[in-house]
Amino acid sequence: MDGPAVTAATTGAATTDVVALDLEIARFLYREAALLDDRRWDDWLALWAEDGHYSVPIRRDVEGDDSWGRPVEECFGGPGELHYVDEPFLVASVRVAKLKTGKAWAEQPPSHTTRLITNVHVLDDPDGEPDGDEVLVHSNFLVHRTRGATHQEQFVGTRRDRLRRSDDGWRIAGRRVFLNTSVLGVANLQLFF
Amino acid sequence: MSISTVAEPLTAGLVAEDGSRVSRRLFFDDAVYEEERRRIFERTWLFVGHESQIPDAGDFIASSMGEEPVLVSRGIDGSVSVVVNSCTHRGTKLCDVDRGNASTLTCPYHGWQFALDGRLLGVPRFAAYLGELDKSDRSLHRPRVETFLGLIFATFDLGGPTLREYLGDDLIFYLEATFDRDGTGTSVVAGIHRWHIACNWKLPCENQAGDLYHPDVSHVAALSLGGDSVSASLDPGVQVTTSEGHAMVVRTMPEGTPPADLVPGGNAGVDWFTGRHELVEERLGAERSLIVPIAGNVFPNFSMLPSVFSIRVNHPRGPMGTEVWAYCLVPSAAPPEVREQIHGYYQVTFGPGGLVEEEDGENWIGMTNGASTARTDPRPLHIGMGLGTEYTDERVPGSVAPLFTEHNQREFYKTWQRWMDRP
Ligand code: FES
Ligand SMILES: [Fe+2]
Repeated sequence: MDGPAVTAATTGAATTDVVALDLEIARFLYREAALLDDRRWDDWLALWAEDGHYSVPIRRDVEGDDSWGRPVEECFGGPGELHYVDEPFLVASVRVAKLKTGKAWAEQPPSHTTRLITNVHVLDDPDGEPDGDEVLVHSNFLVHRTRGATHQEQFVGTRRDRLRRSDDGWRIAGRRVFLNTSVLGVANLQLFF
Repeated sequence: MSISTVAEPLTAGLVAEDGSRVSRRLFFDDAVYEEERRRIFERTWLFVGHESQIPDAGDFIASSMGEEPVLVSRGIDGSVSVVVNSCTHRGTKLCDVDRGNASTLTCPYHGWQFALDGRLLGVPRFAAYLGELDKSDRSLHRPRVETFLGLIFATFDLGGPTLREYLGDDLIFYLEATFDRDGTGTSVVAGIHRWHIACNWKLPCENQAGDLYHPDVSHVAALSLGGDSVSASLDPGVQVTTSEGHAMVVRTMPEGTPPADLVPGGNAGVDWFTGRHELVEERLGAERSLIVPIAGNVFPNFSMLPSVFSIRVNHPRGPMGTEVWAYCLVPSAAPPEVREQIHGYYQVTFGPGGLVEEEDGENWIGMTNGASTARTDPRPLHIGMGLGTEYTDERVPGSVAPLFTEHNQREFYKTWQRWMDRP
């Protein structure tokens, strides 16, 4: 079988316009991550489009289904399969309301998180309309969470975001979170990626 | 004094006779844990998967029995096999994926090849064994397997009771009302929620056996968003421990209850479930159709939460570790939109990212830490609520007690002690 064609997508060759867009989006994602780390929930919720969708699917490890050359989204459970989280953005505001009660004991006292967001670049978007107002974005993350004096854990993975241009900046219209591990090493997922 | 040849087990007397006091050593002690592996996980019937995960010949899934990795598969004749996932040559783990479809399993080290049912089929350089290797003597280790209502159980005790005997007729009365309510059975949604909690395995089990004392406190944040307190939503309910030490929590609805109030959980698929009521009456009988299962635990570690459409196994991973494998259970006859509602309802409330379940793990970690560090208090832990309130009621077989008692927890630990004492 032939190897993949060497294209701009694999070499990273890009025009200054594309580089500028990557930087603009990265700047948006860094600021978003800071809002989560600072627990500024309402400001964070305001970055979502009302029809947004948030999901954390589960990695599939299936015999003979090795992932060489396959896009990450095909290595995870799809529609109809169990997800860690898979819901309209509106449920995220319920999750925030729960945290705000001050009685969500797994976050009381609150954990401390630091999000490292990297490898941000805009992808070719097979579903995108030419000159549309949405972009498909790849980013990697490492989220470090501590609770109490000694408890530490970390989450590593990749995200596919669909961002939409609006009059006052970018909005998150969709986010799929692909965690590296298929058995979570944590007691709960009471955080956003 | 005579010298007994049978040493007293080092776990003797850790649970008080009436179950109302339990030693902290159950939750952190390495020696107790080693004994549990031998006396419980190598002798009881353990849940290893659901038949709907392996519909076709050659389908297999990875699972575990206690800490022992196993592979569960469907044979050409439709039968289910369970084999230990470890090569009989030098012990290498044979298969490192979660599921697949295959006709044989080949060891990655020297290439011994096994059938899914464990028979050793091929050995590279067989002639070099000079005729000294008997293949029939080197098949994969095989526990006993039985299925019941789609649930696959296996045991390493080759001479013990059958699965039906182990479950007992009184538990089966409830299992039928849980897994085959309308006579067409249940299946699991593809995918498993798996997460590791730094707690002893018994804590999630006794919780799901029916700790109704905790939700109004532990889950107050989630409940405050949803309305009802747990006490209100479960009334009238009871705890039951059956003859073999298994636990159920059920609602016992009065005669004349409208079918819409007899559906398993939440609002998911209410209309569809209501429309199935005649089938439910036909399958379970009018009286049993009034019994709505909420939670339960088949000893040792198969837990049921039918009220949120979940079944799960709390796999032990050392004395202070548990790997939860949670599945979403749907009626096999449910149309896609009902399936979707059930799936969505389970997922948003339970599992590691569930609005309700998020708080549970934290408590079990706290209990495990507490037991292992605060060792100076000589008093065992207290499980005394409602001691002596148990009664019998012919409508609900087993030993029954009011919801707000610790009856099922006491019985869980008494069952644990019985297995630990059994020679
Ligand atoms: S260890 Fe499996 S073939 Fe040698
Ligand atoms: Fe709970």
